Amino acid sequence: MTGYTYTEVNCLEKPHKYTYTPYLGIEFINAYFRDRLKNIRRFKLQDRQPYKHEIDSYFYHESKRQFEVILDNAFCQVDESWRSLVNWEDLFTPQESISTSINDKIETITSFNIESEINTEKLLSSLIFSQLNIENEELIKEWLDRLVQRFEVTKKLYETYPAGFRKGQGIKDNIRLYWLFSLMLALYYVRTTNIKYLSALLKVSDLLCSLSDDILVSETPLQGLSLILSIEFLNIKLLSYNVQEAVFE
Amino acid sequence: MVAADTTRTQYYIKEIIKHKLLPNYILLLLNNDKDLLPGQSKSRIDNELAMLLEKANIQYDIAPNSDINSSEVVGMISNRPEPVFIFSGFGGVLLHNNILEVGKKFLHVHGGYLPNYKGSTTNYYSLIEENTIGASSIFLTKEIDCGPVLIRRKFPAPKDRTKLDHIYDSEARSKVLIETLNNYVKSGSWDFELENNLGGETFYIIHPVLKHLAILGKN
Repeated sequence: MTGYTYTEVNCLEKPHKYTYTPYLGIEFINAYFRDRLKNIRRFKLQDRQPYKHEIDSYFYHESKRQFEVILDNAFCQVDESWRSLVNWEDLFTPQESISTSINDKIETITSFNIESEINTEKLLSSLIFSQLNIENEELIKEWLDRLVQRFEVTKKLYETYPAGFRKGQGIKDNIRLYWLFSLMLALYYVRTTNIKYLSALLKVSDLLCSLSDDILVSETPLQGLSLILSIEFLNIKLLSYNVQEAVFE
Repeated sequence: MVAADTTRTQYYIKEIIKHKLLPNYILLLLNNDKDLLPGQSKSRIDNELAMLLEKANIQYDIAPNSDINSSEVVGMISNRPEPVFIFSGFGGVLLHNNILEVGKKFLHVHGGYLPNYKGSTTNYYSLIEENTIGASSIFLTKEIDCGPVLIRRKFPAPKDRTKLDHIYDSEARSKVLIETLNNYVKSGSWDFELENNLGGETFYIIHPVLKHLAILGKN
């Protein structure tokens, strides 16, 4: 049986280059689906983990709401029972109230300047917030493209990027950055359907799935990872309806 | 022409010979390692390319190494009288400033319709998004895939998509190369379909799941 090998080893330590990957037939897509479902279940088992960062609760809640509307629309022509594909109803819904002062904790996207040092976590939070509120679309793409370029070249996200946004500085194993980046990519892809961002999302998801629980649990809301993997899974399902003679499990 | 030993170069040279558009000179970059370099489907120790050139009576040299950016190769190109070189390198190789600044133009055919599809593995992306593949001839500049476009064409999805890398992509690029050269022969000048090749989208190596969906897609 063909396996999905891209999550087998810690991708932070041994990143994949993804060059000239072999063609393994439709079985490879099934192997991908199996691997992602395994990880969705793995993260769901621990999804009552409290939020370490209040902002994550807001991001999760608002993103899930937006994803649901877009997916309902996308699946209505092909499979109205899409929720059952990933047990959508089981996805955690945060109960705690969302602070109304969330706005004050996030820097506006217009405050970031390419000529200055950029704090990646602040940039990602700002991008997600802008994306959720659909504002400054041109700036969102501009900054997201810079992050995608850096990630695609190095397969890492650094703590900061100096003026000019080239070689990153500081630690590169802050897992929270990868979770925020994956959420940003998922939000951007479902709204634009630009495959470039789905490709990047698949690579970040491979990286996150390749990490052990003890690495993930300290800085990443696992319920958030379940959500992201479910969104990615469902969007690959949507694309797979265009595959000839598909026989998916 | 400066040409690495790849399946794409084979396509180019065969088409160039077929259409009687022979270059003055070819500098061959051969892979002396046992491992295949990107763009190679098999190594050609016996050197099919050199044999092809000899048969067609095309003047050529074999470069002292396979790195187009090495000082030896840059020196050889710099010393040639030809102002324009067709470039067919190993996959993923970028030309550094030292070679881009030797006073020559490098005619390259990008595997993708510009400016929409810049970057890497773009024909897999265009197969998913619009069921087409593309090719565009450009003069290389420092910014990747941003040089002025001489010709750009779209082609229908191939029947056997598993052979995109080594057959259909090379075939599409060869067609565009021949059309570009024919235009030059007719007009005596390099005319541009899109001089301002700005904007568009830059893509990166496609994830294998998406590559599979592109290959398995319906025609």
